[in-house]
Amino acid sequence: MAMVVQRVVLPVAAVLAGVAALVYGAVYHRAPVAQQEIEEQVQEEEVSKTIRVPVPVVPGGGAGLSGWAGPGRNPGPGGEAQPSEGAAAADGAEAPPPGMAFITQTVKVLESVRRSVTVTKIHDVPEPAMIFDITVGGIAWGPGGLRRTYAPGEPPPSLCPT
Amino acid sequence: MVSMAKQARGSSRRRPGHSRARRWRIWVQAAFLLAWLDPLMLRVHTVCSPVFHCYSCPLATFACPIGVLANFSALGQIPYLAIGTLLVVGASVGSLVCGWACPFGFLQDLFGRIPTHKFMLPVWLGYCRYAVLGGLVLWIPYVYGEGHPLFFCSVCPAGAAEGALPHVAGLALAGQAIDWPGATKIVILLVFVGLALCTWRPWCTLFCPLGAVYSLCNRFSLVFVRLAPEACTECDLCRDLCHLRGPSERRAGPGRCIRCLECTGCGAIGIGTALGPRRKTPVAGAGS
Repeated sequence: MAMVVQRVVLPVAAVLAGVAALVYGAVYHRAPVAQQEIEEQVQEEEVSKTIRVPVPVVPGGGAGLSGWAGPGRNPGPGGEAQPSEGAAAADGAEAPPPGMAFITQTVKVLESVRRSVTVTKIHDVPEPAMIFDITVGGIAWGPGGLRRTYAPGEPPPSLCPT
Repeated sequence: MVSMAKQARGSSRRRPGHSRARRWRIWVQAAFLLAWLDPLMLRVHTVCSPVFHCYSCPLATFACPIGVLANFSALGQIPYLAIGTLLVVGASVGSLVCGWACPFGFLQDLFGRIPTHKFMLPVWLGYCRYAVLGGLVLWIPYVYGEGHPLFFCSVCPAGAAEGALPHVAGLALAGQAIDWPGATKIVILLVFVGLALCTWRPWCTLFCPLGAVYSLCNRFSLVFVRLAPEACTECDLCRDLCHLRGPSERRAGPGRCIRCLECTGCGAIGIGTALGPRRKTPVAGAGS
């Protein structure tokens, strides 16, 4: 009986266990691997912009804007605004509306910007892919867990890791 | 009585060197070598082979199971595919893989064929294989990671012969800067090539961790080497045919046997299967 167990039951059980391990490894076993990837992201950023703001010209005030204190504030003393030809000519652009003059001002506005950023993504890597990666030194133990040592699309680090 | 014994002896033994296994083995080994060397350039490195063959070899078809075990140990993962491969192959044929399919064993066999005086290594040295398997393949990578100088792949002579040197040659042929491999494994390779001239299969019998796994499987594998006791005349021909015999052994025993089947040159020894017809007494590689 012991001979039967040793010669038949044990090897058959071992073969079945091996097949089960193969199936589990090939189909179900996955490990989280961190990978740094370069990604294009759209971000909203504050951008400095120079803009021309039409302001009313103050009559009798020379350029008429000396008393102006900036957008959102009341013009200084000097009465009603007057068109400033000189200011329009200096701008070299279209003339301001009658009774107005342009002033240039730097303001900060929100703008959508596309940037390439390096992000760390966690992938669930199946075991066959992990085996392939270790044959080229493509997976290493890093802080926080496993990490892939090369980005997708790049050549692997080496055919001979040692 | 004496004449009957002589008759029995004559019927049960063939002339040394006349086993079919001996004739075919070198060709089977060469055919397997071709298969491991990726003639179709498939590079199926997602699959483990059952043999000791460095996956860093520019021509390797499959991944090395020992390299996968060591690297997964360094990564803190369980390599189910490698374990499954070793279990299926080991429990099926045991160390038959060592004797007939292993490319590094084939390399040592080729050196062993050079006619020089061969000495026998003590049997107890075979336990070093289990130390290598437990220490260099599993424990050191798990505790210290793959950067440790004793990480198995860093000292593997098969890696030097099949991975590092061809890699260097490939770089040189391509005109690229040569990335020299570590000197340790080159030295170990040279030592074992030298030893292969003086003793049979020194790496396999001393340090091979894959051989350690298969020698454990030898004790219960489905295929085994069997002895027909009624045909045995105790002529010791099996001992003479066995390259790994010890001074007081009639055969290598399951721990050392690589199932080269050279001993089947004696008619009393053959191949048996657990699922085949009624079995005779198993011998080398079968738990005797």
